[in-house]
Amino acid sequence: MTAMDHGAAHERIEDLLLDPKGLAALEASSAEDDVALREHLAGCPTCRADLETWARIHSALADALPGTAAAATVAVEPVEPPPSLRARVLSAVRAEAPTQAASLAPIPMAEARRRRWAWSGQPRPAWIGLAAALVVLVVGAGVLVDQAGRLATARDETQSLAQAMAAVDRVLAEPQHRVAALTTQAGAAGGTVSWTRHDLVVLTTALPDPKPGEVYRCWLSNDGQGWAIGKMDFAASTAYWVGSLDGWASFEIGPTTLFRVSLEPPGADPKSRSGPIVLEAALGA
Amino acid sequence: MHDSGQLSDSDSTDLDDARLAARIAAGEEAAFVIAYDRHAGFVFGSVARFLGDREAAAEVVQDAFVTLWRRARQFDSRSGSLLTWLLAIARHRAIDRLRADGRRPSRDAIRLDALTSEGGSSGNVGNPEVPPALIADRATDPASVATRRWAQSVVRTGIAELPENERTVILLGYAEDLSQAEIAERLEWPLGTVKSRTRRAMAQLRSRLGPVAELTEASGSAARAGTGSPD
Repeated sequence: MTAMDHGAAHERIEDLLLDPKGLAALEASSAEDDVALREHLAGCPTCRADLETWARIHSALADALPGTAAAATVAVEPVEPPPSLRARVLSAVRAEAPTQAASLAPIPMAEARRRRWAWSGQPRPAWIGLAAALVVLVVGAGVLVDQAGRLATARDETQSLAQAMAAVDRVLAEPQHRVAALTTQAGAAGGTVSWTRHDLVVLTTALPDPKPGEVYRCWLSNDGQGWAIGKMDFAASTAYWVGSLDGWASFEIGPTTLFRVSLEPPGADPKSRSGPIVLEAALGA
Repeated sequence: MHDSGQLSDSDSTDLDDARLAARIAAGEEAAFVIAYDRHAGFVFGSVARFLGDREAAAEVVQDAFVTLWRRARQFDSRSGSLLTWLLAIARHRAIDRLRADGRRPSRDAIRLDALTSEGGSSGNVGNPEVPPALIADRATDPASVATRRWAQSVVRTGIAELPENERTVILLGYAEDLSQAEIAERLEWPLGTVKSRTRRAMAQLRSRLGPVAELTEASGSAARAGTGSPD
């Protein structure tokens, strides 16, 4: 029996897919093609991944359809959106436009934030003033420098930090927003994490600049299981992370949820932590 | 918002997800319209099946697309397709909706606790707009109910999008467990035709459903649709 190549392996997998029981039968089949396919799969991660994707779809199809063609036919009848929805969505988006434009302008947003805190009568967290001041500082620094590259960098940082502040604005505007304190491993205050069900914003001035190749990686964990969610960005001495929780369809912030920042060495796997935790906040506390 | 109509017909078909999201992030309404026309039907079909309530589904879809407009800059094509991203947002909002309805029992909508009760195979609770058979099956606990039900809703929507002949071979194969030869006999189609239609159907389903993380979750593997600021 000759060894099976990628092309022949894919062809055989596609043949097996024609029969809903085909993939399940592969393991026990003594047919020459199936034996050759199993041998190929044993040494080919690409084809194994391909087969796993097909198996996932195959299993989802079997789970999604009722057991008779009549019931299944009804279950997969097209469900069209109402014709008016397109106009509604466009109208809603057009109404958003001024807000989106404003979100790129740091100074008006800082004004809006001041008004909101003044109205609510609550003390204004120190980090908001600090971050707003940094926006101004970065803009000022950008104006003063005469080198184009540094100016471009300053503009990028300004825009990024302005986006972070826009996210803070959105979070604080939500009545149900929460804020937790970040602490260093020595127990010192190290910034804040603020969030709603949809956004999460981290601001800190407690992190020294990483060395070349190092990154500060952010993690969310529940009951000891952690997920890498990205890395901290820097604008001047402020490090921040802004993201949406919407894509985390299965993640719930609960009593045991921790937000953590680790310092990862150059070349570290972005999906698993290998560096020390440098900041931590208990979101469920 | 920039003027619409900046994109030509060829742009509308050629734009990949990353370029489309970048243009939306830059405020181009025309790019947003392309994304809506490309994905709204699938997202709506999935959410309507999940919630069993067309009006609630319309609100969720509107919310998901407004979120796309606000946060297109956060889309990272390395983490999945734009459809996957929109579906993840819609799923999140739809589950929020179920939770909210659960806190307001008087609302005529599906509740997660209702889905866990015994009896019948459908979760449609008193909403006549969507036939019971469109609603996915029940399971045993709210989290797995939501995950499985969402996966079923997305898969059913994927099948609904297939051309009729391709949909038919998938239904007979997966719902009635018929072999290709049996399908050919039942439909009086040549066996080669059944095979080629099945191949085309599977290829389209893979293209639409392959990246959807919930399918992996429903199969028992850990998966997520990452957003935010990945590396």
